[in-house]
Formats: sequence, structure tokens, C-alpha cells
Amino acid sequence: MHLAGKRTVEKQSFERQQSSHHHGHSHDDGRDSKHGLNHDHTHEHDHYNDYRKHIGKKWLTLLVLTIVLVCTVLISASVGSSGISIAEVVRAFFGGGQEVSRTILWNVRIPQIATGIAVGVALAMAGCIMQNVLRNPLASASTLGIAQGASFGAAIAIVFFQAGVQLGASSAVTHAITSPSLVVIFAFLGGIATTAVILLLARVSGVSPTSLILAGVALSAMFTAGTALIQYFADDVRIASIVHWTFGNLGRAGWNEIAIIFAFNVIAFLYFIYNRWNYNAIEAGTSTAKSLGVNVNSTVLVGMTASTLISAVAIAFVGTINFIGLIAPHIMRRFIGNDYRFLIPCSALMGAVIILVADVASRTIAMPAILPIGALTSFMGAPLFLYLIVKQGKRTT
Amino acid sequence: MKQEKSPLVDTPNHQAESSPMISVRGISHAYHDKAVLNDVSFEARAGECVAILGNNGAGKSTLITCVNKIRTPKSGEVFVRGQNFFEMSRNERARTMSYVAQSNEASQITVFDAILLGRKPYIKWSLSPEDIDKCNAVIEHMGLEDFKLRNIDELSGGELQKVMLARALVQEPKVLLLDEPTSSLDLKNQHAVLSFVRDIATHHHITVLTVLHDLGLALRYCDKFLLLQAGKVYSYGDQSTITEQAIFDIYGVKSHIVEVEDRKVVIVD
Repeated sequence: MHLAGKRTVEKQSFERQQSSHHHGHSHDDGRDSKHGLNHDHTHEHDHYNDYRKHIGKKWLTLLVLTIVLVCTVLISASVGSSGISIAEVVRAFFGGGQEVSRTILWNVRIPQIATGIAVGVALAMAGCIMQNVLRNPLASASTLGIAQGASFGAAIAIVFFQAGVQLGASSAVTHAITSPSLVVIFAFLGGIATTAVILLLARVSGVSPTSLILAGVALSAMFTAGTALIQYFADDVRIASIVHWTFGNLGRAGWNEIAIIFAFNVIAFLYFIYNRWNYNAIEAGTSTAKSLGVNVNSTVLVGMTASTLISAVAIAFVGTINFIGLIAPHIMRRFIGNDYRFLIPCSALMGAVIILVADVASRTIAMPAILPIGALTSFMGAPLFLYLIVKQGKRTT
Repeated sequence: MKQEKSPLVDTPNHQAESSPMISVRGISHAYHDKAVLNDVSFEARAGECVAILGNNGAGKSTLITCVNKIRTPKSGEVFVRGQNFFEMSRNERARTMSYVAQSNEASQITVFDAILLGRKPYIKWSLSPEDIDKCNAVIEHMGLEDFKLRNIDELSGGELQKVMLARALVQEPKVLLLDEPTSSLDLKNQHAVLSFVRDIATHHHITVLTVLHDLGLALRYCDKFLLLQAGKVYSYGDQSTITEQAIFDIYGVKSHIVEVEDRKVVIVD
């Protein structure tokens, strides 16, 4: 049994001949197999071009987003306590410009931007996949308590296992992580513990999507309390470092940390893209996905684990930055719908854009003071979260 | 939906019509020790439409999900063209049987992309022009061109059902499973969808297993009738199995059956 092809092709070529006869050009004989074959090809080509046009819009979105990201990077690099013009930024980037610009750019701005991009990409991709596999538009690392779990884990590593030290008690900003791998491992353990509870509730107990978010509230309250308790027993120096870290700070990660976040991102991205059709199928419902040959259980399990891992790694180095994973995929769904072939890369870029915009805002709103970036993303994300709850409530009633 | 419009290539079926397309053998299933299906067996040939009938809770939906291994039954086997269906790979299974669920989640995805999903079991890394062409052929055949690029969450129940059917057809299945395909449709669309399914089955040698609630629709569009009673097969066969006694045993209602133009019509008393 083969669908498609010949009959339609015959019909179409017949129609075409008719229309060309109408214009008095054609000498085709519909039964001439050679000509029929030619038509066959043109026809398929038409359909394919049609499809290319359809898919072209999505590629365009991806391209526009890349350009937006580049612009955001330039703006972010030029804005700060010592302003550098965008032209100077470009010059300094390619080794020209003034010595001082180069120093600021390469030692301060670029690491911070790179961190922002890495973290934004990680959180947005994780949110995008979690929303898909949990069949829940409200899911993200921060709304499910995974971010708080990861923070708790990282705090344990910093306080009890000396994974982090503060360089000079007076400067609260320069907190360095001495053992990144230990912090990552603990953050991941904290995050994955939360994920395990969420998955058990969702898959075994069959908790509804909205209740799952309530479970997230309970879990994040528990981990936030845990982090507070650790602070209570920690010495002054470490309290300062944890408190600062709970606000989120892109300026903390060094090149090593940035490289680690990027490495995890690349692996996760390849895995997610490889499974893009599985996510598209899951979007049609789990039964339908199974009937399309998707191993739903493993896709959900591995998808959640990978999402937890990349969020935990990002959170371990920059602290809690909420709602990126919620905002970015939802903005992109407006433009390209639920096609994960494009939603995954577009969300990733959008996550980077949002975090850089928030970072610029945090450095300019109350200049010269720098506001905590986590607070800003929460201000942006919380209203969207409420909007989504209202929207979901309307759909279920 | 005229037959000559069909984009589906009739590959002449040389296999003996006597050999069954699908053979379901001794399917049993239970939820938490509560038996839902008990030793269900039946066979159907290529091109046949089988109506699965029974009361609520008789195990109709469970049966078709077990046949397709969406649920793994506690015991039993399914053979398609003599091949053990449960031992096939996931993609092979998806290329053999397709399934349309009773209620479908309409997400923000275009009609075209939703139908393209049916090619998933065939996609290696990227789409081939063949995949695109097959989708377009089915879209054309079902008259869906006009909303090809609309999002499926903007469609009416009837349109969405057609899109899901189109998705199941681009899977190029040997067996098509439908779970109450008419439950959310108005009268016109009920007949449109079922006559389309009937047409596809007859002309393209697909075996259709469909759960139906409406006996009238079943009698009009199906060849075989599987009557389920509390998870067991009450009877299986052609029109003659639908008797007043059977209807009373299955649905608990008294009725009488009249014949209008060679077609049985059930009138509930």
C-alpha cells in the first residue's frame, strides 16, 4: 500500500494540460509516460517548494533572532559603569581601540556576556523540553522547584565541603568557586531529587498539570528553607557569599565555568535536536506519540534528566535566575508554534536575549548601583506566569 | 471524496483474500487485578471495516490500545500479515498500524506539520521530498488544502478529526485503529468521516478497526461486528450477528430490527 504519488500527479498534470490547452500551447498527451514523468517531477518540486516556503518563515525567525542576539550582545558590551561606544566595542573586540576598552571588554564584559548566553540558553532549552514532556505549559526549572533544589545542593557544597571561598571578606562580589565540579555535582543532585519527585507525581500518581506546579511550590519552599538553614549555621563570610548568590550574578563565573556550562549545553542541544520529532509527537498526546513509534517513557525520563542537568549546572555557577525557562519558550511559541525542530533553537536564542536584556537593565536602571538580575527576571516572568495560569484555567473549564 | 480523486496508489493486492490481514489472539488485560479484557480473539481481512461495539466499560478502547501495543496487554498476540506485531521495532509497528485517539490535543501547530508527523516512523534524519509529497497528496485527497497552514487549535471538531485521520493515513498503515471517530462530530461530519474511512479501506486494502457507539453508523459502514461484553467477545461476525437478542444482552435495551433496502436498521423500543 503506497500513498501519494501517481494518481494525484496524473490528475494534476491532466489539469495542467487542460489549462495549457486553454492557452493553446500544449501538445502533451496525458498517456505519454515520458511526459507524465516530467510532470511528476515538476509537481513534486512544486510541493517541495511550497513546503520550503512554509519552513522558510521558521528559518527566518531563527535568523532574525540571531541578529537580535548580536545586537543585544553589542549593547550589553557597551553599557556599564564606564560606557564604551558600540564602535569602540567592535574595535576593541578585534584588538583595536584603546587599551582600557580592551581590558574592560575582555576581562569584565565578555565573560559576563558569555555567562549570560550560556545560562540563558540552558534555562530556556530546559524549560522548553520540560513543558513538552510534562505536558504542562507552566513547567520550568524555577516553577517546579528544580532551581531551588539545585541552589540548595550548591549551597551544601559551598558551605560544608569548602567548594567555594570568598576572596577578601570586604568585597562581596568576588566570590570564587574553588571546586566547580563539586558544586555542579551537588547542584545536580539537588535538582535531580526534585525532578524525581515531580516525575513520580506526574507519571505514577497521575497528578494533574496544575497540581504539579503546586508540588513545585511545596518543593521550592522546602529547599529555600533548607538554604536558609544552611546560611543560619554558616560563618559570616560564607553567608555573604550564599546570600549574594541567591540573587543571581552573571559576573561570578570564570572562563572555566563558562566552558563547563557551554559543554553541557552543546551535548544537551544535540540530544534534544536529535529527538525533535519525538517531542513533536508527544505534543499530539502520549497515546498518539506511542502509536507513532515514540518510546514515550524514555523520552520523558531522559528529557527531564538532561533538562535538570543543564539547569543545575547553570544555577550552580550564577545562582538563581528565575522564569527564563518559562518566558523564552512561550514567546517563541507565538512565532513558530509547537514545532520543536525550530522551537528548541529559537527558545535557546531567546533565553540568551532575555537574560542579556535583563542584565543590561540591572546595570542601568539604578546606575551606578547594580540590581540583582534574578529579581529583574522574576519581575518579567511572574506576570506571564499568572497570565498562563488564567489561560490554562479557561481551557480546562 | 470521489474515488477517482484518490492520491493513494492502488497496489493490486495479490495476496489471497482468504488469509487474514490482522489476527488478534487471546488478548487479556487487567488494571490493578481487575480484568478488563479476557481472551479476546478475532481476525479481519484486508479492506474490511470492523466495528467494536459494547457498553461503556466493556473494554473497547482498551482493546484497540492493546492491539496497537500503546498498552502492553497482560497476555495475547497480534499478527499482521502473519508477522508477530509485538516483536516488531517501534518504527516498524508505527508503519504497520496507525491510531486516531478519541480526543486529540490541539496544540499550536499547522495542519501541514500535524499531518507531517505521520511520516515520523519513516524519517531518518531529515525529511525527503517524498514525505512532503505524500502529505500533500493526502491533504488534497481529503480537501484540507484551504487550511493547510492554519493552526490546528483553530479548527472545528470535524476538521480536527479529518486532520488526525490524514496524519494516520500518511503513516501508510496496513491496519487503521479509530477510537470513537465520530463522538465529537455533527451528523454531517459523522457520515463524511465514516464514508471516507470506508472508501479508504475498500480501495486501499486497509483493515479498519473502529470503536463505535452508534449501531446505526456501524451497520451502515462496517462489514464485521465485534460485540464486547465485560471484556469478553460476545459475538463476532457479519450483520447477522446483530440480533435483537444480542442488542438486549449487550446494551440491555429491547429493540426490533427491520430491513430497509437490504440494510439492517435497529429501532429501540
